[in-house]
Amino acid sequence: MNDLLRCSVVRDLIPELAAGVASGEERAEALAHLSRCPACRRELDETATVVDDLLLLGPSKEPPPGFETSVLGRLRLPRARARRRGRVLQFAAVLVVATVLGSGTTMWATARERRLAAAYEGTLAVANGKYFTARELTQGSGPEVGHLFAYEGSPSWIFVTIADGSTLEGSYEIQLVTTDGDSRTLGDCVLTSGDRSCGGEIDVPLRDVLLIRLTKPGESSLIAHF
Amino acid sequence: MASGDDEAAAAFVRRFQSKVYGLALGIVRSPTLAEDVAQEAFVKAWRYAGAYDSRKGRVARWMMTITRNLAIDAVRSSRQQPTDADELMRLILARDRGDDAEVGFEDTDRLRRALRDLPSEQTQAVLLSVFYGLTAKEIGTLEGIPVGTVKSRVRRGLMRLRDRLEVHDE
Repeated sequence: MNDLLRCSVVRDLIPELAAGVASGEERAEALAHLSRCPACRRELDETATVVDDLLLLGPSKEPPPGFETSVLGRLRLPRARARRRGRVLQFAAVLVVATVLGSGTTMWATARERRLAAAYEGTLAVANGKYFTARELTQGSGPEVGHLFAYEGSPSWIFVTIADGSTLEGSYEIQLVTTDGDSRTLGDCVLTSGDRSCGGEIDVPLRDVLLIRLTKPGESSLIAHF
Repeated sequence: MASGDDEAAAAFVRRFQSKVYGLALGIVRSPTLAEDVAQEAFVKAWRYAGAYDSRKGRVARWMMTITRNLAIDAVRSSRQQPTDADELMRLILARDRGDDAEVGFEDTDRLRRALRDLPSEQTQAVLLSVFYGLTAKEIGTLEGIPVGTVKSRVRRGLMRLRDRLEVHDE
């Protein structure tokens, strides 16, 4: 991580940071600077507000008949009753918030996020890492079945964890697909009832990873998108 | 869900479904894929409702950001290219006043006017970045122009939009 990144360099990145399209490496480098530079944070905050507002200009179109029923059906399905009740209340709270809040976005300026940025920076600095991320692992169009964690450093690696309660078992081939379409096999991941995780080294920067999938004949692949 | 919970969730879905589906369709272009994306956006919003932070802005912005990110992921997975971004641009720039007030953003007319006033190449670069999640490098490849030129267009465009909004807020 480059601690000497100047404001001018980071500000050049701010439009892509605000739009969420900067690479992992750029994000990590900018985050280190932003954690120490209130002026750049303010610049990012203001630009991110414009980006957020622009998204509201997107076209409106009524979805096909049955959409609402399908969505509500999916909201009901995967949750245990107690957890569901809590989330329903949270969701209702979001509705209330929607009606009373004024405008404005403060993506970067809160104390909590400054602490988070500093913690992230410190974590990466331990082993001179560049980037760390976590992605949902899904199977087909179904719900999340686990997570994939990815670290860019020396070495770079991924680690897969399968959620409790999942019945996935057996030997899966781990394939990495890059943004330019290359596919490579990283090795095998053997899941048993007692071993619900696996991992290994990767040899490409995370910004070049399009997706990682675990494949097994006769089953839909488990996929983590980047 | 209990009946009251059903009503809260249904109210939320009804309030945002046309914006969420419209944005998803504008990005992915396939009605089937757009419906999948829109459904997933609501499921994700539901799952992370507890992590919603009111300081991050209003719910409409939050829903649109979730939708945009899922739509971009879907486009990237299917390896489509946004070759008809012109159509999305036309829809965004041409809409009539008052269409968005119901989802919590009352300044759409002003922002849309500001967007129309930008040089078209800046508008194009900003919208490709914001709506399609294209990097400067990707926009440069698509448009056949240098990365530095794209970065300059996006930055100038966003700064001018920001200035227009700030002037009004003062």
